[in-house]
Amino acid sequence: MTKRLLLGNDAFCEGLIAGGVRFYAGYPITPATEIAEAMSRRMPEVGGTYVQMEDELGSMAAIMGASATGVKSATASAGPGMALMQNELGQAIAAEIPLVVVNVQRAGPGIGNATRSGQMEVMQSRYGANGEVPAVVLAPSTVEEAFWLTLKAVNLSEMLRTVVIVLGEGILGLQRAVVDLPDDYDEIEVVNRPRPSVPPREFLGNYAANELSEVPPIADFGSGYKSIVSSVGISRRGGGDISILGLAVDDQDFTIRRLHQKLLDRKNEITLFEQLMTDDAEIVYIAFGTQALSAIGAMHEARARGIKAGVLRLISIWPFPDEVVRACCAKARAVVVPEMNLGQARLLVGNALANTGIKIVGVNRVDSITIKPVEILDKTTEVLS
Amino acid sequence: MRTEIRFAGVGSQGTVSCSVVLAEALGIVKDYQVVQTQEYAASISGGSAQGDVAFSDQKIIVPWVLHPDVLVAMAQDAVKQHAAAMRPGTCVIVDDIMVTDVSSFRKGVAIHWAPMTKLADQVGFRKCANIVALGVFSRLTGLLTLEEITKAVLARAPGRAEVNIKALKLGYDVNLDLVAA
Repeated sequence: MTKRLLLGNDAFCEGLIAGGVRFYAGYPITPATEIAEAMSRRMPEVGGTYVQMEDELGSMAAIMGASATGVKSATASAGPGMALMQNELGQAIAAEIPLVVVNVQRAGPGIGNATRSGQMEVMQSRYGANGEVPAVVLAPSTVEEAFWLTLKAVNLSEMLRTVVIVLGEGILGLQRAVVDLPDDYDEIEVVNRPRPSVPPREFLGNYAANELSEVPPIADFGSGYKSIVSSVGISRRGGGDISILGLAVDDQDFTIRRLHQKLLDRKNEITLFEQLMTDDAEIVYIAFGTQALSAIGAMHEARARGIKAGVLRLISIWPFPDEVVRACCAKARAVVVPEMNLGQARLLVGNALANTGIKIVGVNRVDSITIKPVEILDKTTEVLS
Repeated sequence: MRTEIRFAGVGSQGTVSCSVVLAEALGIVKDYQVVQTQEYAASISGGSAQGDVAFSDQKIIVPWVLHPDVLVAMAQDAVKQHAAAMRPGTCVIVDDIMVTDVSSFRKGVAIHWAPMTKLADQVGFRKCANIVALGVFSRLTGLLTLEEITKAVLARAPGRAEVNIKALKLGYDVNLDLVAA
């Protein structure tokens, strides 16, 4: 462990490498550019491959192909690039190809405001792709956490055979902090995707599942196994090729439900959160990413004033941890959700706390200025009066 | 105790670099907890730019600078933008040719006029005004010795080492009587 001053975007990059990523195809975009920049330097150093792509569609397509050969692969972008990637992103989730995508969120719709920060892609991360695919999304708050959580994202993507999005923010990607990270990544435990345990002749294909909770083995392209990665993403129960007549409706039903169920059955392994002073809290601040830090600042200030405040910092956002939200708000009269959008997480919190009678309010900014603890305190006074 | 520093100016003056070097000096050369953040306009040259550093002997929770204890203003626009954030009892270092009007600061804010751009010109490279600023800052605040800040500059900006060392020393040796509030 050596102490160093590390850039948030470099922390994402190192997390990917520590997790075993050895293929990166990307198209730079502010405020995520340094990830591509660092990867172009680091990939050759660790025996990996870096490809500068022509655009974001190409980036996603390239990493999908690379991952199908068995190499852990990743890319990064920001809002406008994430919008372009949705087609391939949905394909990869449906085709069950392990990938990690880091979204260093900028502010605003369309091209947005390149150098400013936001938290506006909570819903895009989950519902951006067509055709009812699920999502796994992790949101770090600090530079150090950006490293560990991106590493975790690689592991989850392999374990679950899915795409994991790391939801960063401009203000985190372009932040530097003193961190103490391992020097030797070889000592870090990594997870590898399930691969066939039967000889090639007996292998029934990459989607040979019989139970909804199954993550079936996937064979690497070029490994001697017949490996079809279907962009249709819908396969026969039990495996085998789809006949020329097409897919039976119950197979479609099974496949789509399995994409979700394989995550839900492992929700405990995905869900991450930090809970501070919620045991007796009459007001709970629920936040994610960098804005959760302001919530923690506000909590300390509120406690100093005699207000029983607590914080639930959501580290994994999707699948949304409803049961954690309910447990943390057991004694709460009110919940404040500070976020740099117009209430995307608040909607989810409201859903989790439906019929509890707990008052839920937001502190929302879309001017790319970070929410200050005092703004959360002002809302606390307002809501408790 | 938590202390907050802001370097502000226009894009290409190197204010963000200033904050990175200072973060290195405080976090690695010294042993503080440090977070450095930055904000700049999409127009890289000429737009507003700022580099912030928060440091403490304890864990830093809120990473962004809320009310700077020290502001280094390299341009008039920076004064305009950040004057309101400065509370009485805080300290401001302004460039004595790039800044002309400091009337927007509240009473009780100590203003120091420092010849940062002038000294950079003396070195023959105006772009190192930010390094001069780090020298002035270190001396005036007493936070870092010349040796400590030099170490950080060399770690973070290894190019043009000779120019930077010269600029840093000129800034550090600035006549404190002249820049006194």
